[in-house]
Amino acid sequence: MRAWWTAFIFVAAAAIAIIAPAGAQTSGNVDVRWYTSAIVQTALTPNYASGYGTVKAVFGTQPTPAPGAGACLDGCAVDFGVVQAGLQYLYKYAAHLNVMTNDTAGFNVYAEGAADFTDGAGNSMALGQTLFYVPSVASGDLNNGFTAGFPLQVTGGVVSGPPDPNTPPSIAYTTYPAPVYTSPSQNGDVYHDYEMKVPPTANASNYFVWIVYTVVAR
Amino acid sequence: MNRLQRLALALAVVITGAVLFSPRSHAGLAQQQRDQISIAVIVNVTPAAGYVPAPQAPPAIAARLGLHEARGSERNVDAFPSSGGDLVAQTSNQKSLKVTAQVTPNPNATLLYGNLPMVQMTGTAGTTVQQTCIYTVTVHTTISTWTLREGLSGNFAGNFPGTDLANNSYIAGATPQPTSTPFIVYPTSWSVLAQSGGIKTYCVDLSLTIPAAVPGGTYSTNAVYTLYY
Repeated sequence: MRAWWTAFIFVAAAAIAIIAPAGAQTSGNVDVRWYTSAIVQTALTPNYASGYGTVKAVFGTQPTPAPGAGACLDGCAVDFGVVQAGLQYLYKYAAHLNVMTNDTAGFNVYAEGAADFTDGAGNSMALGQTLFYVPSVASGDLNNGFTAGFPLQVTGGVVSGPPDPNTPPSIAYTTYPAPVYTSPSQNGDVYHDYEMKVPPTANASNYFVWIVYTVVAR
Repeated sequence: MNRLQRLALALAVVITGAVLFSPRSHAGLAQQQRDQISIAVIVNVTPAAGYVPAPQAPPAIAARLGLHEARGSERNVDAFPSSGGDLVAQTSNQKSLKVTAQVTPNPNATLLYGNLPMVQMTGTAGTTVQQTCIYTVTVHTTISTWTLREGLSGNFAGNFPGTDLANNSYIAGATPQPTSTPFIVYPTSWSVLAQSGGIKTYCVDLSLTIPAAVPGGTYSTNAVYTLYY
């Protein structure tokens, strides 16, 4: 019996050796290559410096900034407070965006409104004709209400939902708008004042809008 | 008349002349500022032909995945072919902030107003662009004598002065002025657009000469109008 098993193993091994092609491998190589996506970290701080708040547009000596009740240092809303139709205002130290990325090419910043100014009851103000951003600094801001600004437009992207004063929206882009800031560096800070030109025909009401900052690694 | 009297008379003539022939001083003495508005002028500049731009930014971050076929296991291991374009994964991050305002009525809101709070012009560096009646400015008052002044709040940029922007302002529907006048830039005393009375609407034609050395980009200033009476 033992001799029979020995013969069987020998014949089976010989058969495998004959059937298997010469040089066949029992393992292969998988070549996987990839580029690592950049990591982007941002921090957005409203009312980022003491002295934040609303200033009526005048030349010369500037009034003391006076934010609305909905504003607070290093947070809350950018609240212009009570503004009059037909007048123009500056809001100092409105937004500070801190960006860090591991992309050595830097990053782009986009800033858009999720919608027009609305009071949620049918009244609205066209955002692109009403709210402007003005490049600012960390402290010692010398802007006034007539400093040149750039309009904040309503996004052409897909917004996560209808305007809601209590729910920050998000925007899905298929095409990005023109950046409000381009950094060739990995890290950077963007400082914005806001300027409001209240339409002369604006209806009296409480308005809000969400401004969405999007940072994209270049 | 002795020498002292002649000196006093000459001094009086000089002072009177300065008051009468200086528009700003005259308005300042006789009239008060009643309203002030601004119209943002946004300029999109395309670089001039031959302009050498800054080095191009590197391409966007891309994620590329390719599986090479594993030799000796073609039929059993291959996951999917590696044909097709790169997979593009742009890394982004989003944050938002809320802006609020309580708008209240302003009885003087229509005393001085424009039909647009912002206008845009587009041109190539080294060229001049013109736009007819790009905006209007209206004084809406029954006051019989008022003065309307105009000027820019600042330059577009260091190498792009506000004086490169000229205006031709005229009563809407009337014939434009023979020539355009460059805007005066704050803090220089602003020029008088009109001394008139009652309700008037002015058409403003803008003519912008963009210096050839201005890089492509977006520039901004404010055209400011001030009403005195």
